Amino acid sequence: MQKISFPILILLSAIAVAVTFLFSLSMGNAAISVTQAVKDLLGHTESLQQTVVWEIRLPRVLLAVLVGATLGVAGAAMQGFLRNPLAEPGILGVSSGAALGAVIVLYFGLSAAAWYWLPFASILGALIALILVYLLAGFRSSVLSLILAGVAIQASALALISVALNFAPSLFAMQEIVFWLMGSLANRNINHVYVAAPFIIVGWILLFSRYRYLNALSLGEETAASLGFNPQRERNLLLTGLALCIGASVAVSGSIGFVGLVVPHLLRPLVGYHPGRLLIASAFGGALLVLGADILVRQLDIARELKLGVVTSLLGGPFFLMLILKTRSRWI
Amino acid sequence: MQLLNAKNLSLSLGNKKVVDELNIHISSNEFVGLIGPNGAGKSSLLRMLAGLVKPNSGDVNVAAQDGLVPIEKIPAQTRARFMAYLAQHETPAWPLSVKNLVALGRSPWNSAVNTSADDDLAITNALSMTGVTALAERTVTELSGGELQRALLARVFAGNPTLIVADEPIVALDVYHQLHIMELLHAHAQQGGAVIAALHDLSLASRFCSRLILMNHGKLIAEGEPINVLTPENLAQVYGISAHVDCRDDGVVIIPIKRIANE
Repeated sequence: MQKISFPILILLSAIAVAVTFLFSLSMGNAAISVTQAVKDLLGHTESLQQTVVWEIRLPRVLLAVLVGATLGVAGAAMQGFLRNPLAEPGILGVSSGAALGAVIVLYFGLSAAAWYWLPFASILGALIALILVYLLAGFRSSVLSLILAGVAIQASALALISVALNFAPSLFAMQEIVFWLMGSLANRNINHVYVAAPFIIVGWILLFSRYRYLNALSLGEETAASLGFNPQRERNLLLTGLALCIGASVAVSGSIGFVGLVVPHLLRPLVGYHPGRLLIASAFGGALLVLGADILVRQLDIARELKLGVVTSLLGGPFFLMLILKTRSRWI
Repeated sequence: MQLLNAKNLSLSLGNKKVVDELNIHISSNEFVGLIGPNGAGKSSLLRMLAGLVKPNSGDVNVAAQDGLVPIEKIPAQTRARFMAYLAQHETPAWPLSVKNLVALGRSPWNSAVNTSADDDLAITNALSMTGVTALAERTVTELSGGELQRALLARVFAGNPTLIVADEPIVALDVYHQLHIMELLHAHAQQGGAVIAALHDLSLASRFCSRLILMNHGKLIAEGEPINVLTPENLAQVYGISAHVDCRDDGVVIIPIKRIANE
């Protein structure tokens, strides 16, 4: 069942992420040496290499890692929390809330006024969505009513996004919204990293700190409670962490689908179906997948950039279908 | 020594009173069988005793270092070290290995991610006690009902609890495995611990339990030694059946004959 030991799996994943990270950093239209860029940075020399690598490529690659890892961890956390391998990070309406926040900013053209409006509105949207889910479901609610409330919030947010598209002030605004919703890491700068990273890292800490609870939850909420966990407290920390890191990810990348669903699903057998370990493995897996998809997007030499979210969905959809067909016998 | 003492416990679900002014106490070395028809309130009572559901009124006190303490005053982790709860139809959400499943029983003890030598020892002991050592690397989805129940009981034992609260631990098992689980629970009580278990098999309950509590409609109907609780009169009143009751040295044999009341 478990062919490789967990530390080795994590070591290999970390190496793979590091290699892909460096490869992505050295890749681009301009033939530029990364080693030269590092030398110039350390030597405080202004050079073309330094500018391209540190100001254009690095933010994008860093965001790919942050967003990818977040989607992986959040997917693993949600699947563990809901005890369902088909759960994805957006199931409680958090991603749609974040997307709605961003769309409102784009609709009113506030993103032109100052770049930081969009990420902040997005994170705020995610948190508001979570609060609404809690208010709808009640603070001492069952998991099922949380999901129902999440679906309701998600549907409402998507409806409001459609309203914004319907009444978009101009074709340009509409295009901006649609492209943003598709999910991309193009044209991001280091400020995006600075805005998103603190929220993402706090979110990760909250999710990773629920390692033991997610394990105990394998046996159900009641048994987990009998094993010395306070389900209410654990849930609050877990969902707050989710809203923070997913909100911040959506804020800087738009909606990137399927990563949070496919990555934990794929890695689960490799960690012996251990929900806690899956969190860690999925962080690396998600980072690797988004880094790879972003490399693919940049490789394609076409007039209009293919959006990252489109690529992950194109890869993820059929792949997930295949997984379902393969494991169908277990569920039916 | 008294391990648990609950007074005037009441619980309503919706408009229905499922547990009604019930008093219960459990001391060490006791194996208490909780019996009664479906819907008598057994599961709700056990959940309250395990601290998983707060009673609407009344209180549950459990043994701590300085005597009996209200259960809600005890930190959840301390409570989990003292008592374990085995839910009815507990099924793991993921195809974990038996060893990983049993390791979950150590949750109240390990504070960090890593497991200590104590954890390893407790897991090994629990596996061998319940006879699932050979299955340690198998996934739980491959186990038979009896094997799974033993693995789940190993999970309970791995936490070294003093008091075990089990909700129908032998339901849907064959006679051999029913005996096996009952023997393990009995042995736990013999070694200074205590067990309270909801049971439907009255003969097995009488064979292993030191005391039976008979419940109906949330109320305590009878309590005491099995032969004094499992009387034809009590069975007629609570279960609505006439039964042949044969008291023997090693338990009570009950042969249900017919229903005497229509529900």
